Amino acid sequence: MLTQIFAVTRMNILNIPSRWSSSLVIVVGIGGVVAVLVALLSMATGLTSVFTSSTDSSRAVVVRGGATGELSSNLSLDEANIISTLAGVQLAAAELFVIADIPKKATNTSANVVVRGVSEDSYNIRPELELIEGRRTEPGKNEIIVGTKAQEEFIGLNLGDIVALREFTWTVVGTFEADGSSIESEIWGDLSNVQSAFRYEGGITSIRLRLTSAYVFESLSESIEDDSRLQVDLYSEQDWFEKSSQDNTGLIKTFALIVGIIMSIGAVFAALNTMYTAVASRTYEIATLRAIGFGGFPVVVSVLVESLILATLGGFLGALIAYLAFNGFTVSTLDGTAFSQIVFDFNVSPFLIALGIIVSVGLGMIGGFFPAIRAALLPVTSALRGE
Amino acid sequence: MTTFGFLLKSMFRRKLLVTLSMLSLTTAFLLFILLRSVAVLFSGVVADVSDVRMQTSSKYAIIFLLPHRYGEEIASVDGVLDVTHASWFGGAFKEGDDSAMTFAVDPTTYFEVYDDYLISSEHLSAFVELRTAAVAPEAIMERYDLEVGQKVPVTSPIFPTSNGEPWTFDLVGTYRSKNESEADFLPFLFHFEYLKEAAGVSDVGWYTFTIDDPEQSAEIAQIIDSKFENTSDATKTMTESQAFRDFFAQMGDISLMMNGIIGAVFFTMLLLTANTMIHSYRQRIPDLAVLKTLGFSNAKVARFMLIESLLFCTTSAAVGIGFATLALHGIGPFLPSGFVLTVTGPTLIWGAFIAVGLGLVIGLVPAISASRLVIVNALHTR
Repeated sequence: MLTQIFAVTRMNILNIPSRWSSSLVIVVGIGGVVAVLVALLSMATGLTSVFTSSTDSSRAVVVRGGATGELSSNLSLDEANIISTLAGVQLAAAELFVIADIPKKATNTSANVVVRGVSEDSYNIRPELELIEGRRTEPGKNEIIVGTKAQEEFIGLNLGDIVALREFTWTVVGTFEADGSSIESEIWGDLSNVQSAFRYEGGITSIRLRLTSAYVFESLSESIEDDSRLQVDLYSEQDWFEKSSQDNTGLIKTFALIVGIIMSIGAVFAALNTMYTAVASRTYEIATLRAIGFGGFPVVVSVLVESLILATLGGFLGALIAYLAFNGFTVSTLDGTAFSQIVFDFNVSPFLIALGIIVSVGLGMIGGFFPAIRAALLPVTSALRGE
Repeated sequence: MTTFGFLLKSMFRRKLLVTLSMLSLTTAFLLFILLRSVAVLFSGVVADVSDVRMQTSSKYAIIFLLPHRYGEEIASVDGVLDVTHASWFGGAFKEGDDSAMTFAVDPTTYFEVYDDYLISSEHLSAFVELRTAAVAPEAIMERYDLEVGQKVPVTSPIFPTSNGEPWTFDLVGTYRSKNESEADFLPFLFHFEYLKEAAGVSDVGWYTFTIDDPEQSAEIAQIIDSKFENTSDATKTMTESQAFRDFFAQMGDISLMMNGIIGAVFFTMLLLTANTMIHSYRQRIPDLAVLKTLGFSNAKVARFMLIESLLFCTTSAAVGIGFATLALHGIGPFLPSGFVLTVTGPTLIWGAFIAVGLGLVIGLVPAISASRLVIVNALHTR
């Protein structure tokens, strides 16, 4: 039996080059599906990683009760002062989140960029922020530092550039990275300067917290709820980012799935077509094999293996194309909850490559199955007569 | 047998092969329509947004407020008809829910400027008369199960009340838009005066106004923006359709990506379908030789192959586009509000163009070889 399987399969595979044009249909068809699917999912993965790359369970965010994002939140410094004295809070940084119109390099049309007014503790709470150029802002001066992603995507945010943001003009004195997190799409300035430039005197939008440990979150949450002076929501950093990323990535994932399924259906038809043709063109050979005593099962296996090899080849090819064309590709889109631009890289992760290849194997399996059955059920005598 | 009948018969000579190829080509056209409809949505051209309405907002970003007196100054510009204003309230109807479109407006002028909003005169006068009154579009009434006459609690993180309780509005009426496609974009409206009194805000979010001549929109925008240019509240004025396009442009190069995927899909399908056609042609060489023996000219045989290929592609396209249109209707209700996917005229024209082009390209090689067939050799091929 095994020798039979091996012999027939070997014959089929060695036969592929003589039918290369129809075999190519499977490779290209399934390659196309995998390339598109992996590319779309890598976009979703890239966007998600912006929100999840640097979460820390001992960090938390405070916004106005019911606020869906920092933009729709509105707090006062009094509230920040109350919260900073609560048990479990190690550091509390009052921040002001506003947006400014800055032209994008790609289109030269204005888009919303986040400008964050920060205090000293904002830096202490986010140790992942690392200056790669220049220095931090000096208090009292109209200076800003710019995230690398924002710098890449928008016009006029290089070191030393003068930028007009609302009432003031600012000098870019530094560029920072932050583990690929969303603040790399932001511009940071001193809280009091941003407040007066954007005329939010005394106003803040959110408070970042470092807790003494991740375990105090529950008790802090309770003490905030019980405090009648505070009408605010406390989120762990992870929950906060999840809340923000859901809106943004859910749609892309659904879309990738729909496109992937429809393309897969098309590719399965193509694979079926090719394999039926392959079986049809070998009717005579298969009938001969059956006549000299080969069983039906080895024939089924041989057709399936051929289809699987071609499909997997397509899967590798598609994943490779997606990787070469899209990995690290930088795009920006509108963050629905923050109403501002979020810049991110496509991320063709090993998981996605594996997923693409698994999909290709599955499609090859379906595409080979029915033709294989047909090959096994060929009526030997009429096939030999060439009917 | 008619020529057409003959063509159909010979095309389906290999039923399975042709049907499978047609199905994969059909899915290609299905995807084409779906992806184009997404691309069109994100390019923002589908919305039937008026060119006779313009809006003035803060130059710095839409979130910043403008002084109340700007309304009169805008109204004094030549060519401006009615002026109204609105402010983003960010209200949510249920605890933990996302904020819905909730605007604080001037009730009288708002419905003058948005004259495509339909509201009964009783509802409108009830809205104008009561300071705490609100009107809701049908979509919001349905989603939150609201009824005219009830009190509606709304929480706003932007304008929290001093005791943390929700705001309460008297829902006195409902309205809808003449444009069905706009149904999910319509806001919940209440009195700006009420917001002003209760939250102490005197500035407004943005101004919307109508103009008598859409051709003048650029000049009017320029006049208004230069009026306020050197104040601390500089403005940005544009037509509503421009504002809409700008907003969608912020979504990024989605349209470009859709076109990339469409390209990949059609390249794959071109290869596949061409392969089927050539295969089906090879199988029919003896038949074609018989036709030639019977006296069909070279040109006629070539034409047969070409027409067959065209028929094959256009039928697949028609079926694919048909399914796509049905699918878009089907998924419409499941999309987030504001996402309206439609098949536009240009998309259909492009689809037809691609179908014919694909048919010609794919039929070319079989057609040329068919016309060059030498009868004696071809009859041998079996």
